[in-house]
Amino acid sequence: MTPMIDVTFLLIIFFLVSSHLAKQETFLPLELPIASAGTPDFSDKATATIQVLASGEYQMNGQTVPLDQVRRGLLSRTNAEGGPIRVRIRTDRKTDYSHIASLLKICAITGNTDVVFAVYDEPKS
Amino acid sequence: MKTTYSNRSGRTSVDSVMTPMIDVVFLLLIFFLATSSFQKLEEMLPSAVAAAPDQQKQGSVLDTEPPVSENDLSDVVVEIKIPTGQSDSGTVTYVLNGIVMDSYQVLATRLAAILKVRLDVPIVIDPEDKVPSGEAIRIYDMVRSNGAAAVFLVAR
Repeated sequence: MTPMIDVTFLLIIFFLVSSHLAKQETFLPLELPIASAGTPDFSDKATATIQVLASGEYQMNGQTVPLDQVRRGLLSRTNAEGGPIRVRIRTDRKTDYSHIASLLKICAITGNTDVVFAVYDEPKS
Repeated sequence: MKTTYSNRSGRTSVDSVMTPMIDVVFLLLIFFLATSSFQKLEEMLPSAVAAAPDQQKQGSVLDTEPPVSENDLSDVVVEIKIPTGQSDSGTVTYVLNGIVMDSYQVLATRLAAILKVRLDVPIVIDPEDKVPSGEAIRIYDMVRSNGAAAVFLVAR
């Protein structure tokens, strides 16, 4: 019995870990803004993540896209889900605010008012 | 299985005794390596709209424009500006309802005082185009953690 139990446990752990890894999307290493009021993200609401690089480029689904295509991408995602989705903005803390401002406007135009920013917790010191 | 641990002469082989322990140790090692995430944990900061969905109708919520009149105290407008000629230094100045604040601390105290009187006063954060978004979110976060019910980031 023992070897079989060994193998079973190994498989259980393997699938636990790999499913956890599969949930993490491939994210750019960005210096996210720091906030103290951030909360851990446990919501399983449909979420579109838009990354804004320090240079002001937008990335959606791992591809650099112009703002107009961000709008189209959000619209098609909203239509596919049949309602407003959550928009998660991962922005570098050095990005000019104008890029965020126009992105917020796109979100409002497409009717997605649930916008969250990805932030790091304040360092405890 | 038991016979593996001792040979016929009754002596215990050290190798055979160690093997299961090493198995388990390696398994634990791999388990903790795989589960510990090397990335810093990302949190989420809900925007104004997510926090107060019933405040305004959907669609136009983010289009909050600062009020024209500076005397209109029904809205609190925090402008974040870059001092002219210092576009690269990374310093910003804060303007609260048209009054320039000396420092971040002064702004924080003033806002906390305003929020002590009324928590539901709408606070509009209007950073200039060139302001780093980290700065905008820092102010936004500060206002939120002071308990403000309606904080808006300006969309253009």
